[in-house]
Formats: sequence, C-alpha cells, structure tokens
Amino acid sequence: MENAALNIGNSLVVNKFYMVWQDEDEENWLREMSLQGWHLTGVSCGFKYYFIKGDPKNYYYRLDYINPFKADKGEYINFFRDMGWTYIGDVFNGWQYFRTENEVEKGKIAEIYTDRNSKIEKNLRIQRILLAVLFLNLVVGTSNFLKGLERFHGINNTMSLFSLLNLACVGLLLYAMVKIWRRVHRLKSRI
Amino acid sequence: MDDQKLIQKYLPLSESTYYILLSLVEPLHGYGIMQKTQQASNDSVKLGPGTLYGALSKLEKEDLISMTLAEDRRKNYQLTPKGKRVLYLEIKRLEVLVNNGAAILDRLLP
Repeated sequence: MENAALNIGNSLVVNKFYMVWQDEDEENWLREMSLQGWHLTGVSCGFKYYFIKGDPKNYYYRLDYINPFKADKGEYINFFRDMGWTYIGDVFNGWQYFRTENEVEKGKIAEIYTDRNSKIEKNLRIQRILLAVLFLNLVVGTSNFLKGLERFHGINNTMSLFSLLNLACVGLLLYAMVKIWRRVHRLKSRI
Repeated sequence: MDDQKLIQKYLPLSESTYYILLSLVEPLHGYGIMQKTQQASNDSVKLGPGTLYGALSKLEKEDLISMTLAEDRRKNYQLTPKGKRVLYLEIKRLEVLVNNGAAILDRLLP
C-alpha cells in the first residue's frame, strides 16, 4: 500500500505500509529504491520512509527484529557495524533497519541471518510479541464489552464499538501469527 | 557436568556453533570469528551479524564461552573449560562419523 510521496529536491518521503509478514518484500523494495539512487536515511512509525538522492547503488537492506525493551542496544548496533552493516534506524515496536556498508558485488547476497536456527529464532521473537498484543486485545476487548453491558443494562454502543475494533485486531493478529508460523514451519521442515 | 550430560544437552552442534567454538580457542571478537570461520570453511560457512550475535549471547549464557573487555572496549570471547569439553566431545563424535563414512566411500563412486 503506497499512497503519498513527497519530493523536495534531493530528499523524498514515502508513506508505505507493510504487514508484519512482509518484511522480505520491504527489504526488496528498499534495495530497488537504492538501485534507482534513492537511499534510505530513516524510518518512523513503521510507515514513513525518508530517502536521499545519490548515485544508484547495489545496497542490501535487512530488517532485524529484537525485543523493543532490550537493554544495551548500542552494543548490539556496534556489533553489526563492526561486521560491515550500517544502522539506519528503528521503529518503536522493535524493527531494526540495517544496510550493507558498501555496494554488494554482483551475484552475491548479503544476509544478517545465515543459518536456519537463527532465522527461526527471529521469527519466534516476532511471534511472541504478536501473542502479547493479541492477549492485550482480548483483555481490553472483553473488559470494554462487559462495561458496555453493565452501564446501560444493555449494550452501550460506544463500548461495543470498541470491543468490535478489538475483535478485528484479534482477527488480524491471528492471521499474522498463522503467516509467521507457516514460515517457521517451512524453515523447520527442510532436511 | 559429566560427559554424558554434556552430550545429551549440546550435541550435535550446528555448523555455525561448531565454527564459532572452533575459532574461540583463543580470545577473539565478533568480526574475527566471522573471518576465521569463513577462511577455515573455504567460504562455505558464513556468519551474519544477527546469527553471530544471537549465538554468542546464548553460548555465554550456557557458560560455554566467556567474555572479556579488550582495551578498545571491544568484547572478546574465549572458550570456558566447559566449552572446551563440549567442543572436544563434538570433534570425537564427528571423527566416528567421518571414519564410518570413509570406510565405504569407494563404494559410493559410480
């Protein structure tokens, strides 16, 4: 989903929305942008992307997912930097954006996860946060629903609207979890 | 922990973990581990930062490696006695596997 792009001279802001299971599409899109000379300089809220114009480069972008409350993030970023990755920014919910420091040679692909176990673990970290948010939605949704009932001896419209929204979120979260679960399953079932 | 328990808990090691432990017979930092692994395996095993970062913190938690801060504040890692024992047992295990394979290798050729 892409709706607006704001172009001021050498910089570009793009609003684009990716679902949690589309991280690889997002990485590919960012690489395409760099191939056209638009290099990512920052992200915000998970749907605003900031670019700056330069020479076209074959950069690879990778998204990592870490616990958003992780202590010692500076050390984590330095570790990646030491191994040839530029840190671009993060989104509050735990997504970290990295890019290769230099152009990647043709025919080569740069990865931050190079074995199956660690790929599975990254997806399980995503799964855990989805589960936590799902649980939160259920609690809030249920309590809204009950409040709606008791206040007017019937269903309060505002409150039931809220619990309906919660229900929609729960549905979406379940869908996301199935998507991630299938990815983990694919990784596990390789010989 | 006796050998039997170590074997049950840690073996077989994944290829990445094996090479990480192998590089850590001497103190080394993240980038060094990556380079050494790539050289030793003739480029067949590469370690990305995400994989290595996760593996190092897990190995440290399990007390198979320990961390010391170098003068430049970089983190250096090294095998602990427990880590040495685990790696030793894994190499012995692999030796048996390779020897069994070698005994029938010529029968696999066309």
